[in-house]
Amino acid sequence: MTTAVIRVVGGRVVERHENVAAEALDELLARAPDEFRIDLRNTPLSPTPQPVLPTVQPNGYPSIEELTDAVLAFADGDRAALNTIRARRRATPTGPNA
Amino acid sequence: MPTSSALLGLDQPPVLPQHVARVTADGRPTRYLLDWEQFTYQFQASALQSLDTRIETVESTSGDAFASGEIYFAAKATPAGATAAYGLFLTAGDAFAGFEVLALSVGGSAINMTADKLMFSDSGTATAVFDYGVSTPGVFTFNVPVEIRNSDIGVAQVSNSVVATGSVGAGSDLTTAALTVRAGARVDVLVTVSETSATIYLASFSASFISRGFTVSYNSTPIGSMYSMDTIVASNFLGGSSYAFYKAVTPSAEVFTVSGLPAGSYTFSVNNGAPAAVTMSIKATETK
Repeated sequence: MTTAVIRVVGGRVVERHENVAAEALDELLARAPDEFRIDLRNTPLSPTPQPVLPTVQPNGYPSIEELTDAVLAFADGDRAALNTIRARRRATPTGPNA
Repeated sequence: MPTSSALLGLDQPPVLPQHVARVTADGRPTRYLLDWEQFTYQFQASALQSLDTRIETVESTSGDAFASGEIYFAAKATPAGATAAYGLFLTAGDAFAGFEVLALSVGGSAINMTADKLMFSDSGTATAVFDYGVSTPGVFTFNVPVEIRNSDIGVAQVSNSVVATGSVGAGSDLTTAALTVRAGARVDVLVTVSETSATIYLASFSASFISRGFTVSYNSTPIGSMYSMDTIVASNFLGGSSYAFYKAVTPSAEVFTVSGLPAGSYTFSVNNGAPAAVTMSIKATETK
């Protein structure tokens, strides 16, 4: 005769034990008396909380496509695209030219 | 019942001597012949009764030594049903052996044997096929291959295992319930790391890889370690030549084997060597 046992911490099912023999049940329940309980409903584990990932800010450098277009426009006498890139870089002071 | 004295208590009448007259002058039997016939009849009656008793029960006693044997057939038929039984019981001192066969017309039959040892031998090969209490006291021993269909094996009669699954925090252990094993047991321990999304982090550029170790142990005795490493799970274009890469612990699995465990109860653990909570499983199975 075996049974299943789950461990509930903070409302989340964090452990599940199967094939727990009767003679092993007391020791298992004694590990954390308020957290282990017999499970008769095949309760699955609760989903793992996802980490809060750091937000990475764009550094303001132009892409190769944007830079190519700006240089070609500058060759034709148009400085607007280059000025746009310069302004964005000043607004985001990251990288070696900050 | 002293069957021997009963059988021999009445001497067998000898044949009438030759000179004894069998018939009278008028052809009738003489008194000698009639007496001889009477003695012979009584002897036969006594012998038949004694012989019938011997088939059922024999006993012998000498001082404190005692031995007995009994065989019986029984049959009974009634409107409600019929019963047939055959039994053999032998006793010598404190030793006892019995054999009984029973059949009931209403359903059910049984063969019951009672003894402190049992053995069956193949007469063709002189092989001791199996025995109880002969090779080893109290043990049923088969000396030939035994085949049992898999579907006929009872649930949990062969496999003996415990399984634990958990979302385990960094540095914590996932420990199974106790598994009780036989002496000299071999236990296979399967360890897995599956859901690792909680370990995702922003990776810095480096040529080296990051290894993660998950120590496996039983009753706090290390068996070995399962190793994994961090791999890139996502990337982000930040503009220009800048990119962000995200890493996480790679799901892994490995089997460890422990042999020669003394009989007793054991718990099996795996330690989370990842920097955050991961879902782990550990299954310990006694395989020998």
